[in-house]
Amino acid sequence: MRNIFVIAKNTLKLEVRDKILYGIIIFGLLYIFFTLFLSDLVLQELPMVKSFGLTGIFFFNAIIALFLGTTSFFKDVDRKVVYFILSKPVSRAQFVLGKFFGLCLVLLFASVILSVAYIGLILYEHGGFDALGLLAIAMQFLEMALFLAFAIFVSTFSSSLLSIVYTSGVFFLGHVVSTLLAAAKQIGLGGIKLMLVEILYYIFPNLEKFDARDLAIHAVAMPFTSFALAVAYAGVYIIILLSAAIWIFDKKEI
Amino acid sequence: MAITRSSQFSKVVIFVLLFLLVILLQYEYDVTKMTLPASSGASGVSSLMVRMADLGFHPAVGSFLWATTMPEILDLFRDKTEYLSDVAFVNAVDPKMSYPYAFSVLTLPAVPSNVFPDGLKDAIAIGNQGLQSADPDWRIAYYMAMDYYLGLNDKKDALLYFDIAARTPGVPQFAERFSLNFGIGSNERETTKELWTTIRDSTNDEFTKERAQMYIDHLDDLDTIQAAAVQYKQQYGAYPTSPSELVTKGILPAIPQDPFGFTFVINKDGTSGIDLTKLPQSISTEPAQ
Amino acid sequence: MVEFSHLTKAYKKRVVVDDFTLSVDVPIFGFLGQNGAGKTTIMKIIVGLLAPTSGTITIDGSLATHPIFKKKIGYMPETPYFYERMTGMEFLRFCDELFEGGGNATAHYDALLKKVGIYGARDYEIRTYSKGMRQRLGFAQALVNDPEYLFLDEPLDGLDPIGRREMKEVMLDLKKEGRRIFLNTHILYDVEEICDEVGIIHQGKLLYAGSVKEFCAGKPLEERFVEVVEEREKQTP
Repeated sequence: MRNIFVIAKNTLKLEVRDKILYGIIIFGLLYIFFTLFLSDLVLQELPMVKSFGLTGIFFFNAIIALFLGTTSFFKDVDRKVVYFILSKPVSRAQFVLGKFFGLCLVLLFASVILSVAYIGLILYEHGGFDALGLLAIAMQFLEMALFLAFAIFVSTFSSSLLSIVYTSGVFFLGHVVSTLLAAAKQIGLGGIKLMLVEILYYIFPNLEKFDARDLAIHAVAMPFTSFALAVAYAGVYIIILLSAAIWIFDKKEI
Repeated sequence: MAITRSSQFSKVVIFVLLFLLVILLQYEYDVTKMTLPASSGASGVSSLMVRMADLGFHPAVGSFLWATTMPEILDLFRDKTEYLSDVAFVNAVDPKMSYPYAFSVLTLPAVPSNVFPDGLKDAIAIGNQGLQSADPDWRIAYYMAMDYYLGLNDKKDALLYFDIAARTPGVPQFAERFSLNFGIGSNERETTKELWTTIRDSTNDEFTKERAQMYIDHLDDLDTIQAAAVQYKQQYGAYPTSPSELVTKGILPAIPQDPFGFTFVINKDGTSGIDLTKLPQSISTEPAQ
Repeated sequence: MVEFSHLTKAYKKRVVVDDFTLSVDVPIFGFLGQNGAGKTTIMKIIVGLLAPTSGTITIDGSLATHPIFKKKIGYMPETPYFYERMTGMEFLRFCDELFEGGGNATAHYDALLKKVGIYGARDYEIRTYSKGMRQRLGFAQALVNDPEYLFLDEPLDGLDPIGRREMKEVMLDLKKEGRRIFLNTHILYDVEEICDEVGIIHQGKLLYAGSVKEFCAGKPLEERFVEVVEEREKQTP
């Protein structure tokens, strides 16, 4: 068990030395800074500033998660660094879990930096502490963890490039699928076609539930049941993805 | 490390169970979650497309689209009406964003009617939509009240909408004070009172009845004080400087209690009014965001 | 004592390790064979990186697949790949931490690094290391848990003559300490110099196992090796 922690800590240490990660974080900070200008010139309204800020954090975190999830695990295996690790008393499951938690920590690191900038922005613009904004960021983090788990899962059988394609595709579908179902019902789709859409809706990771941005911008608190269900959903889905990843990785010839 | 068939099988079973759990959680979530107002009306399908494509960025997309739409109001002067369809689109993408509605209500009627005759009509329509869908924003009702009074000469609706504005959370002091005291000037008090009486008597809604009654009482109090001031002048040769003198000199048993909590004053010309320097406790002391 | 019993590894079209049976009970054992003979595959199976298609390996009586075994071994892969942005010291410490209950004092790592001769570069990032330094670091991490058994895949590859001498000295020291070493190599000279016994592997099959002197029978090792391999080639259809 301790091995998971060791690998996680090591992943964090290494990724944090990656220049690309810093590049993305700096872009994120620039974006938040830019929102400050935008708010004085055009946006003016606080809900609009919040919407730009929170969406920016979401977007940049997604980029970071995509980048980390599709490269970190794959590189370790492809470049055979794992030879050193798996020849020691470390199970393949421990390695997968260690990578996952390590990458979550890296994402947390980036999130905290961007969140502090965002909270500072709102404080400066309005003088209030955007607690709901923090909740939205926390929900986003949960979504990103799910995203990371999926990326790692895909990394066990695809190269980096394909992983990026699959993971982006799932991210897109995950957000679109509830609107798709609503649209299908709206235009009166019936029978088998509707059932297919419904199956897609239930099986695919349904990511809209982690969107607390809308609520934060309009100062509406999230009901506790929704929050609890979203956390449970993320937890179960992550377990599924990581278990599948471990299962595949166990059998992989390296 | 050979994997036996039974452990393979049990792994598949566990996977299936976990997926069933996922489906259950999703279903539960759908049942219990709060829904934000859905997009409405004509731009339904295309705004749906935007919501689909924007991956959960819709508030930002809405804000961004608004930033590009706002300047188009000026094009209305040149008979280009893109503003209307664009603002409808923005509102469909993010119905809760209140600023586009408020801005439209304020500016559309300002376009000369020979260039754009439907300004008021559209403003009112957008305003009502905003009241229904958007975050509470005092400006929507406030500007609508102005439009009714100044544009359509409809004082009754103006009163109703000013009342809505006064009750909206976050309304700043000046707006609340103005709204509650719209039409209390001594020369128009009678009309205002008549209008509120009509409103009170023609509605079945308890809340509206109570609200109307508050305004009627407010106006009655002002009348009472004014009549007492006249009486005072007849007796003592000059108008009193404050309503408390009416009590000390026995003309009134007590200063009437204002339902809104304002302090009454007596103006130099003997008419009654409210003290602008003293705001009642009930009025919010925080300015709107 | 290490025993291989009918070890086989087959992929869809090729058999890479073919019914490999062998008993080893000497301090330094060398697997000798050409590139692609199956030496690396056998070693990967021993340390648990690959699973055999059939057959077993037992070490001191227990199966090598038992988790306890991994605590007793050190492994050095062929052409080691590292986390380039770690320093040598960090990497060594990381490897040690993977043995639950690791966390030795820095002195332990210092000693190891000195032993393999890269102490001076311990705080530089591995991406600055030369080929020889990487080999040495690979060797060091194989020793970090004080193992009973060492499995080294081409340990002298890429080292200059002095480096080769130094590492051979280290191996002989380890032998004196009572450890057991298995090494893969295609360099005949090294086998002659330090191996107590040799196993000749060709196309996944064990052609000979036993003392080097007996194998040579007076002739140069190279000549004997080529003889045996060619004879084998003739037999295969």
